[in-house]
Amino acid sequence: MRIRFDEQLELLNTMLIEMGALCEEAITCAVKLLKSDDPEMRARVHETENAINNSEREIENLCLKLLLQQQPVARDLRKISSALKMISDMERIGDQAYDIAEITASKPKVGHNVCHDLIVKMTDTSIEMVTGSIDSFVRKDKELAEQVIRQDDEVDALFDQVRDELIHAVADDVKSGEYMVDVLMIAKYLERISDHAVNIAEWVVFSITGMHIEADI
Amino acid sequence: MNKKIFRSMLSVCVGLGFICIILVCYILYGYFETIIKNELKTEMNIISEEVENNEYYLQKIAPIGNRITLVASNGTVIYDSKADAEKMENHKNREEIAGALEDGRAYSVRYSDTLSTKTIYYAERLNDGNVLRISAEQSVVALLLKEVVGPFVVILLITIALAALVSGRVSRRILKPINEMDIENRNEDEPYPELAPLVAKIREQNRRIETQIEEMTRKQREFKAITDNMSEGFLLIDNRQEVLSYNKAAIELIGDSHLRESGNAPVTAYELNRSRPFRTAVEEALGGYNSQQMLELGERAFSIIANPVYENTTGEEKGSNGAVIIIIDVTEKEGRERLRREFTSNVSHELKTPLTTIYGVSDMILGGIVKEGDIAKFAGDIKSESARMIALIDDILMLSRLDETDSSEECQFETVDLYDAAAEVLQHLDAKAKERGISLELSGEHVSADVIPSYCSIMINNLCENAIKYNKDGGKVTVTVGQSSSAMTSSNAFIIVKDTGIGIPAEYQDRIFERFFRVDKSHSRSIGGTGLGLSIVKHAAIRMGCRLELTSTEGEGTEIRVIFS
Repeated sequence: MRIRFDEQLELLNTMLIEMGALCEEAITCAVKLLKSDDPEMRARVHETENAINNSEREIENLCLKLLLQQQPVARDLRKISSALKMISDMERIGDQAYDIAEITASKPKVGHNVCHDLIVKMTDTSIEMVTGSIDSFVRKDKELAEQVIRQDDEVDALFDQVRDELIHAVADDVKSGEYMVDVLMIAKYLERISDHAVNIAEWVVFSITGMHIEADI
Repeated sequence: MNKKIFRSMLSVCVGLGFICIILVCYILYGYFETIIKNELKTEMNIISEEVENNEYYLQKIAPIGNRITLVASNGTVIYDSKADAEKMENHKNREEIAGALEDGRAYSVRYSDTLSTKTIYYAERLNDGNVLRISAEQSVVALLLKEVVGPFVVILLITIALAALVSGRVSRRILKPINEMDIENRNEDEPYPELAPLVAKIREQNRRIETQIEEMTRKQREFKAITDNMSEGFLLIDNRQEVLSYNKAAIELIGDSHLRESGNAPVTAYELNRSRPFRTAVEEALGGYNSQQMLELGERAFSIIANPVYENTTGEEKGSNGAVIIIIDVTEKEGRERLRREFTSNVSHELKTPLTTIYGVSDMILGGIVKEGDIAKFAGDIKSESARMIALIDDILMLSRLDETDSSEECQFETVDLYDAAAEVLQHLDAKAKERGISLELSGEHVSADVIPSYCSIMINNLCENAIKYNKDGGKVTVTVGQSSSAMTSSNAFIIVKDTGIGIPAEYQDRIFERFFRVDKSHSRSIGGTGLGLSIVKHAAIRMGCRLELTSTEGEGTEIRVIFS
């Protein structure tokens, strides 16, 4: 019985890593679309997003089955419950990557370069955070998870900078307002992605220590 | 075993105790009877004399001791000490009386009605013909036992206790040498010869187990040595993607930095790498298909080959029991592929350019657009472009000849005077140099070396031609032929071609020997040449076993040294 349970926990682990890898892929592809439009890449984002959704359903089923049939306690229970929470964040990351891909499809191809550097920096940081959060789960590395949580401030600051720059840019060039809004949306999505990465990292910390960082009870 | 020995010994002791007691009882019983009989006889001797002398003696001693009966020869009881003689029946037929009447004396034993006692009778015929009988009662064995059972039980208990103590000791002592026996030590003798076959068997098995373990460790070490020294990554996983075996190279190649530093073993395959190509390879292999994927990590490219593993070959189930994954670093192979692709496209480009000119010009002439007087000029164009093409094709042929490794008739080494060879080349190039006011200078000494003559002159020619082409107007080309004396081994001949030209930027210095590589692509046509000159030099040098050295400063000049071995 216990052996079977261990096997299933191992399976859960593998599935989570796979889903995390899919998330990384979705963002990486979506971000590539920012640089150059490529229909193939867009199709891949869509495909990845679907795969993420399927993964979420499968993991959810597995978690519920484990909870009901095995009635886990202590660390196993923490692992399964944090997995349940993590997958919803991962699924959101997939959605947001898809949203970014959608925006790039409608983006007017004007030679604007407003906030280009900032957006690149934001994408790099958020990809790093997602990778970090998944790595921390894979390695059960509390320090790495905490580092990811700290990194969120960086992305938040970058987002504020993007917003300020865009306000100025719109004041100078009223005609390309639509473009500016798109850029703002992309920045916002990236900021949300990093928030989800933080959530994942928090659940990783919970599954390791049994203490959720935000719960000071 | 201890218990078993203890129990058997104890039961043997206790059993023997019982048997002893029973035997003792039986012997004692018989012994008592004899004693009683002897007592009766002694008493009879005493009484019989008295009875004959004194008629009333019997009445005097009557009430004590054993029962005494006096019977007349006709069987009538005259006197009985325990009963009334008058009432007693005729005793003539009693066994002891009859015996005494006949033989003078007789014994008889009779049990009472209840069987609880037996009576021993002894009768003797007196001188007067009467028979005197004395009888004594004795309890039967059972009753006798009942009386002695108390002490016997005590004795038995003591015996049991003693037996237990002794059996314990003895069984321990028997077992002690067995427990202390050293099975491992082959030279030690077994304590009991009866154990010899068992011990021999155990030792034989021990030996077999030892050799098997040795064999297995050796195999494992071999396997580890093989996999660890492979430059390819190796990974064996089961159908739940758990890593069963892996080698260091797998982690070195595609594992992340954390795994590399911590030295932890990856538990699942995705812990090693979770990129899409790797996942696809794993999934396909576990699904029962062979899979080959390209994985790019940073600047390196890997080929991931995953094969399913079937443990039992029945093949009833679809899907495999696991997968073997081999990771090969194909960065260099990819690089070579890229170079070849570039070369092909360069060749086609270089060939197409003159052809286009030739085609265009000849088309114009054919169409009559060209004035009569200009035809000669255009024909000149066609000629020069064709010459360019021929030069290019010659160079390509030269290169492909150099690429081939077999030594054809041209590739015979001969001893050549390098100074003379260089002088010949310079003389040939003199006209070209004069056009740009470049002075050619040859210095050094006559040195001989074993070279392939045709390759050697092409090499010197190409180097000098380049030195002229990439020189400044009015510059200088110096060719020095000599012999290095510093070398510890045989002295090496060398040729140095030095110019005062434009030089080569540092970042391009390792690339100038590549085919079609040009530092300044835009001016390549005006300078001329095929872009293959230095490449030919390099291959010729490799072919002849020479070493090339390059020193160049941008804007000041280039020095190329060819050192013959």
